[in-house]
Amino acid sequence: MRIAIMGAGGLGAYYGAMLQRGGESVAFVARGAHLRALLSDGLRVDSPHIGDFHLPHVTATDDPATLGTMDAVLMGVKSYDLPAACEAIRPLIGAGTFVVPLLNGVDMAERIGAVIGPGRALGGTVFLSCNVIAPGHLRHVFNGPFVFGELAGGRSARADALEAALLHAGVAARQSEAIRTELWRKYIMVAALAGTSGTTRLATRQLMADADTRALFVAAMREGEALARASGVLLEPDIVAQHIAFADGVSPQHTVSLLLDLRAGRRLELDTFQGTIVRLGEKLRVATPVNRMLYAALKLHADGARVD
Amino acid sequence: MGAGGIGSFYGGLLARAGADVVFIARGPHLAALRTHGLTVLRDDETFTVQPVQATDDPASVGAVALVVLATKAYDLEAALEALQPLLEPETLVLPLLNGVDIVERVAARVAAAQVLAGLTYLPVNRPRPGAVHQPGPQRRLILGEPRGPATERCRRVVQWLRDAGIRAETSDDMPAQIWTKLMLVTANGGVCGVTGSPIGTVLADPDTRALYRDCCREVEAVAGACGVRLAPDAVEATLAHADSTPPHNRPSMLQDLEAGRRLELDALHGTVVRLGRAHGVPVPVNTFIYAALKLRAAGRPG
Repeated sequence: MRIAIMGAGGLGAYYGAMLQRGGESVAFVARGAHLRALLSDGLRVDSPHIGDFHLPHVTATDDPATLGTMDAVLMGVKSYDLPAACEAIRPLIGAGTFVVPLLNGVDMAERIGAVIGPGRALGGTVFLSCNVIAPGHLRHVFNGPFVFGELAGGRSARADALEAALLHAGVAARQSEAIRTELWRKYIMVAALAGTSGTTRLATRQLMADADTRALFVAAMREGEALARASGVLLEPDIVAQHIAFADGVSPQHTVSLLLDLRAGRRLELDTFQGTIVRLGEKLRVATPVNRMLYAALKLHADGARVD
Repeated sequence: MGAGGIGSFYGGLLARAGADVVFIARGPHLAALRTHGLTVLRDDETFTVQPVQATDDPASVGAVALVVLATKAYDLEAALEALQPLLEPETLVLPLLNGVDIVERVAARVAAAQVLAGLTYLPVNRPRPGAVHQPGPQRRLILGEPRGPATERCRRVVQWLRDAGIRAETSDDMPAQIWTKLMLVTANGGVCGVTGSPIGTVLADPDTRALYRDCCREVEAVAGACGVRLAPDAVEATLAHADSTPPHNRPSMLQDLEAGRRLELDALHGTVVRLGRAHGVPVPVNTFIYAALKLRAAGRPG
C-alpha cells in the first residue's frame, strides 16, 4: 500500500516506521527539526516491546503536493491542527484514498470527512504510547492496539487491506465493526481524566487517591456516558467502573498529556475534550455541568500560557 | 495580633496617630519591625513608624484594651491560645478574619461578651519584611456586635479607628456583612485560583464570569439556608465590586497557590460545601473548586 503519515509526531512516525519496515510504501509529512532529521538520518525507534530498529532512509517532506496520491493517509496531527492538515492532504487524495485519524476525540472522522468527503474517513483510536525523544528518534512506551473501522459499522475491503498491512508489519491492530462504540468508550475516560487532571494539576494516581478529586473524575465521566447514550451509542453498563479500575491501576508516573502541555505552556486539546462535550451536551440536551466547569477552569490556558 | 499585611497596615495608622500599639508578629517581619520600624506604602503617601513595639510573646505585653485579630483562619486557634495574656475583663477582641464561624471560634477561648464581629475589604500586600503596601483607595473595615445592632462600644472603637485615618464603620447586621464578604472572597479566590488567572481575565471571559456568578449565588443560597438574609442585590454588588478592582489584581488565594503557600480553602469553600450539604443546598461550583484545589491547599512542602 501507498501510505502517507500526516503529522509525524510520536504515533504517526511509529506507525509509518513499522509499515515501512513491513514493506509498505510510506511517506512522512513533517516539519522543522524533525523533518530535517528524517531526511538526513532516517528514523530510529527504541522499543522494549518489539526491539530497537533504525530506518536509514525514509521519504519525508513538508509539501504533500510532491508525493502524489495515496491509498491511505494516517492523520497524526494534534486536533487543533486538524483543519489545516485536512486542507494540506488534498493532493494525496485519489479515487480510493481513505483517511484514518490517530487523534483523540469522538468526532475526528466527521471533521476530516467534512473537508475531504464524508465517505473517505474511517474512525480510528490508538491505545499505544510513543514519544518523540529527539528529532528523528522515537521511544515506544506502551504497546496497545490501533483500532479502526467504518463509521457505518461492519467490515470493508479497504479496512481489511489496512488491517492486513498493519498485522503483516507486526503492529498491534484490529479492525472494529463498531468503531463508534470503541471511540466513545475510550473518549469518556480520556476526556474526564484530561479535564480533571489538568484542573487539579494532579497525576492520575494522586487524583484517584483523594475522595473528592476521584468523585470529580467520576462525575465528569458519567456526563460523557450520558452523552454517548444520547448519541445512540450503547456502552457496557459497567463502563465507568471499568475505567475507574484502569485509572486506579496505571503507573504512579502516569500523567495525562493535557497536564504536561499545561505545565509547559503549550496549546491544550481542550476543545477535543471539554469543549466538544459542552457543545454536544447543548445540542443533545444533556446536562454537562462538571465538564462545563472544567472547561471554564482550563480555557484561559487553552492557547498556551504556563501555570504553576 | 497576627501582624501580616492587614494587621500591619491598621497598626501602622494607629501608631502614627499616637496610639499605644503593639505588633505581635513572627519571623523576618518581626525582625524587620524591630530594626527598621514599619513602612506603609500607599498611592499618595509613604511613611515609616519607628520605633514600633513588636514582639512574638504576648506575655511580655500584658493586658490591653483592644486586640485586633488578623491571622489567617487556619492559624486562629494557635493565636487564641497565645493571646490569653493580653486579656482582662474589659478587653475587646475584634477579629478581621475570613470565615462565617470566626466569632464562634474566638468565643471558644474568649468570653463571648468581649468578642466583636469584624471584617475588612482592604487589599494589602507585603513587598518585603517590615513593609506593607496598600494599593488604590482605602476599602472599608466594618465592625459590630456578633448579633443585633451596633452598640456604644462599637461606635467607640470605630471613632478611635477613624481618628487614625482608618475607613471604619459600624453595621447593625454583621452576619449579613460577613456572608457578603465570604461571597466575594470565595468567588475571587476560587475562580481566580482554579483558572490560574487574575480577576480581570476571569471577569472578561463569559464562561469564567458565569462560574464566578454561580459561585456567588451558591454562597447567597447557603447564607439563606443558615438564616442570614443578604441584600437583594448582593450577587450583583459583589460582581460590581470585583469589576471595580484593578484587572491585574491577583487575589491572595491565587498568590498563595503560585507561591506554594497554604490556602484558606477550608474556611471559604470548605465551609460553603459543608453548610450546603448540611442544609440540602446544592453547591456544585464550590464543591468543584474545593476538589480542584484541596490537594494544593496545604502548600508545597519545603
